[in-house]
Amino acid sequence: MTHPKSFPINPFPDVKPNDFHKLNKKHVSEDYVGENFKLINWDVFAPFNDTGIDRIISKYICPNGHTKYNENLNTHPCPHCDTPSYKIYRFIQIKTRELKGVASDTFGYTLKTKDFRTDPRHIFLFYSDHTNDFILVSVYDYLNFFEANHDHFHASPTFKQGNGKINNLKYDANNDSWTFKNISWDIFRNIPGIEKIQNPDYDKYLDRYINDIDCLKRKLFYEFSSGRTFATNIEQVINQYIKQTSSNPKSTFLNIKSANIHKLRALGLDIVNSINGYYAKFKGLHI
Amino acid sequence: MNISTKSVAYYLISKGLNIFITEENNTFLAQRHICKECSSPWYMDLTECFLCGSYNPYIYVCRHCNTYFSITGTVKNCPTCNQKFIQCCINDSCLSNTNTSVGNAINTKYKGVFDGDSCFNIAQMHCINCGDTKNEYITFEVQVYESDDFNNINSFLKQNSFKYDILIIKFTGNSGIKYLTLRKTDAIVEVEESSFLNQIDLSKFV
Repeated sequence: MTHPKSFPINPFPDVKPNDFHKLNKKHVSEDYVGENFKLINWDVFAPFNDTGIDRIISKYICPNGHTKYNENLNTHPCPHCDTPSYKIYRFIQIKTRELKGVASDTFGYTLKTKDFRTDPRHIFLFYSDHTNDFILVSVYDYLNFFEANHDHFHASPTFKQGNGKINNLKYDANNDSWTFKNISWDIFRNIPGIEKIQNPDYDKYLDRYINDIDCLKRKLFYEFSSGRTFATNIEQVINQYIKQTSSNPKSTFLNIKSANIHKLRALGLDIVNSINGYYAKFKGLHI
Repeated sequence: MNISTKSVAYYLISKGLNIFITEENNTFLAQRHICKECSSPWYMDLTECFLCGSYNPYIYVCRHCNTYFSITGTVKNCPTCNQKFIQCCINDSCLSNTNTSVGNAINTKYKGVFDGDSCFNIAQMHCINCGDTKNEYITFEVQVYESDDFNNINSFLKQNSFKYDILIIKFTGNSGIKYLTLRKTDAIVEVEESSFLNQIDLSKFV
């Protein structure tokens, strides 16, 4: 199976993407991604301050899905159905890796709990600089994949520790194909990947998708497996407990918060000032 | 980005917004990550207890003496009993505090729920204001226009249809910088000095 290589291309022909090593490739990789989206008529925004988002891309599309991956209606109505176009935004988190492993076929990456927001427009972009492929997966499709395939990775201690490397995304050079645990991920690759992330339903039915991601996230994250880290006897106790707490109403959470604040305030001004010093970057949170 | 626009961008960053830029001189994209229900800010760097949802209290606890200490200091052991401090969940009814097996497992493997290596804290799941678990992004394309002459400002407003979500006009008169923050829906074509404020109107960014 061959894939058109009209996207992505190397926008910097004076240097090969894999001439960079892992310590100096971040900037060029993000620019590489950004320039590629500009070449297919998306507007591209780069972060001015440090955030968890590496690029924001936007363009005008037809709400009925008639807009091609490299087309920007630029406020004009859809030429196919005459429906007014509207602007979409996608929030891109880029992971650039070279292929490793015995067969040089493995794209190893880490995603932490902080990388999972409940907005379907948050996109994980896995950029394989050795094969020049973008794998574009919305947070919705990503979590849905794990849930549909009964994959309990997010229950593991290593995921919540933030060092759970995933080595299941693989490239098969013989068939020019990407798989995750032997299930094809070519639907997320390059042009088909862009077509998936510009899905107008993410914008039209944003609330519904946010609800669905919230449910997926709570189902996958609020599970505990002892793994090789803990004795198995605590696994059942913890799972029973979090099954109950994760379904608590919001008021229970607010009551715990209120009791904690009351307790912390009683510890004296020095400690309160110290805690508030750490909370300063979280506007709206203080003791 | 020109320096006048950059100055506005830094102001918005100081107020908790994220800024994204293009090659254009006087525009940028402002972005916030907020609670879906109440629009309070959402912080993926804030951690909460995986078991009960309590926020990281950023304190050391000596389990032996049941005393609490600031984590700002360099001391890692209790000055009274020399036991190691832990960063535990402070909710008394949390499983980490009520079940001895679970508590010991956490405090033996890690130095408490909120130890940097612990798998018992996760990024913010609940809104700090309303407790909801759903969050979303909002964005605003912002244009900045600066002038010390009202004729120029009114001429600019007449000639420029609102292309961006928010227009920030900086009037740099003799009495210092004043701001008029307009939304696309405001559709104002003429302004006077009394319309200007001493600060950018952040209520337009919700």
